[in-house]
Amino acid sequence: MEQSSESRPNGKTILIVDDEFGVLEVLEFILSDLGYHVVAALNGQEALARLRDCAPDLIVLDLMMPIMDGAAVLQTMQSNGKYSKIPVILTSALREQNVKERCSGYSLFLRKPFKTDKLLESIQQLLAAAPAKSKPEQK
Amino acid sequence: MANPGDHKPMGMADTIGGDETGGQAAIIQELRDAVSARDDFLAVAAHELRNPITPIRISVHLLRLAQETGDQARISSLLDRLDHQIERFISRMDVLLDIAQISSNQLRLERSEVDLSETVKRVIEEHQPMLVRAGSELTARIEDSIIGFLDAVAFTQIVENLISNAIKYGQCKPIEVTLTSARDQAELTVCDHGIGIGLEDRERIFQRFERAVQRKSHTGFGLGLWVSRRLTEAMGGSIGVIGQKGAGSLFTVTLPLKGTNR
Repeated sequence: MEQSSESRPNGKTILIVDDEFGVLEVLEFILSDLGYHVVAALNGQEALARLRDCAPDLIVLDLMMPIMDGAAVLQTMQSNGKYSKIPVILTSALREQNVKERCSGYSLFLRKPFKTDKLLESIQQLLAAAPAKSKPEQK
Repeated sequence: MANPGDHKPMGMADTIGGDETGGQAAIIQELRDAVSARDDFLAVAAHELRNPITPIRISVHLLRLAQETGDQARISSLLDRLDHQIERFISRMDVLLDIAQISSNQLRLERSEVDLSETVKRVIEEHQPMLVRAGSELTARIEDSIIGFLDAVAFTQIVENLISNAIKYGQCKPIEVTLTSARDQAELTVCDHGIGIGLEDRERIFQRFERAVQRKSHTGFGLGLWVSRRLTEAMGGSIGVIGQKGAGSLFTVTLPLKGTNR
């Protein structure tokens, strides 16, 4: 049975968005193991739906995805005050220089394949510095 | 790496300047397109090479942790997972290799007797975890024992490309796969009910990889369809798509079972 985010050891919800099935699978595994409540999405469109439902504390967002890419997700988040403060770790196979030309509004960039330690450290630091989150939208 | 689309190749536009004739302008445009195409390919290649390495790297990290605790059951399960991830990586590399071979006209088919029915069933089975993750239900109607004299790797690649495409663009909706045969021809169909493809994009999605990725956003179809078309045609078959934007896509691959090279 799924635990509510409040009953998890650290009570934090992380939304991971990636079209690479293998990435979702291992990130979900490692982050759940560390006690985070993990919600996954396979593209930007799905991510926006999850964003409304689960009010994540942090997002690990891939840039190049089908249907809706990471840049469009960031743009939508920036235009909505409710989501603009959520820390976003943007990931891509591209170099950061190329990523910066395509989008803005992310907290930190990690180039794939990133080191797991670096990702986990970044998550901890961003969560520690993040303001308290707002509650999920009522349906 | 330069920004795709923002090029003045070799400064030609500057040197020729106002003296551009129609012919020169066309050459300049061609050069610009070539540079943009190169950058698009580099972006796609980076995506295809670096992305599948990410889960492999994370799994190595998890293995190190498991090794410290000496949890043999966990080590064994992680090794299985790692093995699977490496298989997927190899399969992705094969696509890039196919592209290189097709581009340089060096694609060589290795024909043998292939059980198409079993191949399609196996590929569907391998995609079950992805289907569960995507929330799509796949229904298959596979005629038994369709045997063809084809390249097994190429046929598997085509089936994998079409099924993974349907999952990625299928928006969590049902997917239907059929495999039938008639008059020495096999017909494979993969139907999704996702974003669909507009009339104007139907030819584009099968074009060379350079055109397969939309410049400003990376929401275009990937390399798989171009590769699928080339592999299908190399085996003497054809591939097509029908459907409407927002109403899903139906891909149909027809292949001669007795083996005709094109």
